[in-house]
Amino acid sequence: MNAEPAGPRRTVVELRHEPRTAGRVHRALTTCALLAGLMAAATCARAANVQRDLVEKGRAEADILWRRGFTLGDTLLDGLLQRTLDTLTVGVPRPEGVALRVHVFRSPELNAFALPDGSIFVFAGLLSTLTDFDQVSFVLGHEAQHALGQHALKQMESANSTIALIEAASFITSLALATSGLSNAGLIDQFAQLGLGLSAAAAINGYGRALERDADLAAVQFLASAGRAPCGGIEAMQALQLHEEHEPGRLSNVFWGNHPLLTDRVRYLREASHAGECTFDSAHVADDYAPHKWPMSKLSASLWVTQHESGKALRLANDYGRLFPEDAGMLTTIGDALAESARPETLALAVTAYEHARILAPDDRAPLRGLALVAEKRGDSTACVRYLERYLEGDAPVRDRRQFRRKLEAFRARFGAPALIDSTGAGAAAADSTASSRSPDPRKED
Amino acid sequence: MVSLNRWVRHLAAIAVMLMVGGCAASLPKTSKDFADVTQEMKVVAPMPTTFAVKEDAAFSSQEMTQLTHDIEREVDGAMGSLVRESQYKLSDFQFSDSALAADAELRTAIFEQHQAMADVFAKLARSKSSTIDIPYTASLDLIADRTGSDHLLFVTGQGTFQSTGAAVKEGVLAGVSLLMGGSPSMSDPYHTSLAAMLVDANRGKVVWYNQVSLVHDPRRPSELMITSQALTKPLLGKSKLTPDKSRDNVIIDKYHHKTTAKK
Repeated sequence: MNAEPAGPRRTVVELRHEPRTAGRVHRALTTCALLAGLMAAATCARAANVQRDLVEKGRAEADILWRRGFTLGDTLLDGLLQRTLDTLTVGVPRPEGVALRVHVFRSPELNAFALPDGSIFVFAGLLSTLTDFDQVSFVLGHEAQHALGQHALKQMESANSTIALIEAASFITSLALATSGLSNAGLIDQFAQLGLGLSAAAAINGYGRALERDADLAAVQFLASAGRAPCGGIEAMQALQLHEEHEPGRLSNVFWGNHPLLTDRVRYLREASHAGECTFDSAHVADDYAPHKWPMSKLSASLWVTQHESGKALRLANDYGRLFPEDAGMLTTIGDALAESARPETLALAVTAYEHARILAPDDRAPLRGLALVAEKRGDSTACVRYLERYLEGDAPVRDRRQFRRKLEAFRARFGAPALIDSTGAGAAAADSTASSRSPDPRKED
Repeated sequence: MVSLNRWVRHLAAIAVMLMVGGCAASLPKTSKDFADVTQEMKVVAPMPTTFAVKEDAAFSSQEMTQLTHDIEREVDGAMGSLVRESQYKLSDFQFSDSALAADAELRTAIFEQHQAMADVFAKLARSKSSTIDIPYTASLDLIADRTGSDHLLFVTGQGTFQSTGAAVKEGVLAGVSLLMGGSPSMSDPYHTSLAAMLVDANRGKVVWYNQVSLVHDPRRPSELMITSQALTKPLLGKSKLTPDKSRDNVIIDKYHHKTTAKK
């Protein structure tokens, strides 16, 4: 995330304090005023094309995300979400070039975004957190309004005007202070620039928050016209609140927050939707949504593991595991999350998870990979070799096979271990017995 | 006092030399067994380039995503030509849109590389030495199967160019600064940076890394080719290919024609 505040870019002009500079200042200011006028005219002339450019950029960005594999491409889920979105926005006029298309974004975060061309991306993490289609509909309606309301254009125009104004103010302030002859002009200028920067951030983010509120309120309308439960929006916000690590302060949100505070969003959504008691209950998942929610939980947990966020992966896995304790895939993910640790007791838990997965799905080789890595981490080369042999048995197209084959060869070359891979599966039995007896590391014998 | 100043100047000069020398020595970075890798390496598969391009306008800068894919394709083409020219064989596989559309597994595999790349770059940022030992955490088997190569060349880059408004603004500010007796400073009108890493799927680690940053226009294919040649020279050897300047306006014209056609 870019933490740099949106503000004026500093213009450094070194000056000598001489009386004759007054005339030069006048000439410079006149030149600047003329330049600003010319630029304003040019900006107006281009305004008609900006929205089309944004649409074109949005389309290009959506293509990039697809090429880089960020979109999940689950045709069933995409189709279902698309139908939901189409129902919500039926009859709503589309700006030129905007076509609403929804995709699932391969990320465990709780987020969604829309591009100016109408491409909407709902994160797998958000879908795994919500509990019914009313909440999902609110999210889709909110994002659709960003595209339908041309929010990117509005935000850009507003930000550009603010930045241009603040830059001009920054330049004039610096110039005026530099020619003022004040002894502490530099210090005053620093404070003035800070104030201008904060003003720019507050103005730009303030407008952003207004657009978010507009999208929220439009989504309430979409829900109502589609006959969806009005609680959808409130509950979606409550779901986000549950997972928010800490709510930003009201003052800091004025300067740096581009969304209204969640407490405010819940309040105004309650007022706008005229909904009665709405309370998000993570334990109550709608029957028609459950078949879509849980695969997203499973995906999100594995994505958290790849991002080295074991704690988050385990939290998701625990919720999932309560309902599906016999899911070998999730047990392997739990093992992978635990195996990130270096603590012996956590590694022992990882082994338990992998072993449980092996019992539930004996043909699935993924737990063997994890067991091999844990054994290597523990310095138990013999067990590592035997798990690797079992994992690579029969030249199956398993994950990381090139690397593990090389690792196995290196182990054999180093310790002179005989080939244990055979077609009868004797290696597997050897692996099981070796793992339980925890053979000493051959390196230690050296 | 005079002699102290002289010593200070000498020390400063030595420090600058060490810094420059150190930077020069730290690139390219290679793994300890890089010589073995080059012995084994027969086929090289350049992965699809990821590039980010920005336009610096008068009052803001903006991502130019509509140019991104064209630039990426130019860099892909340059990399392909440079591998073909080298002693290594170029993988036949094309990461075309149709290939990606037909192969969901491949897109998943490509996605998995992003986190691994982020991990590698975090480790590279901490690495001061020219010898690296950086494991590559994502699985490469599927991509290696598709491309028929165990050696994958990942290329990433970024570029900026100035809009006319930004250039005018800079010129005016520099003029004003001169008028006031100050010292004007002008930034480069464009720049292109490319970084490449060679990953060995058998070893599961990064075996070579290099980066270059040149004052070149990222929209001009010939300048992308020159930057690519500088980038890959330590890996593939000196290229004799002459950058084709005749196509230099292809990307620029494509964008501007689209803009004018809309008016």
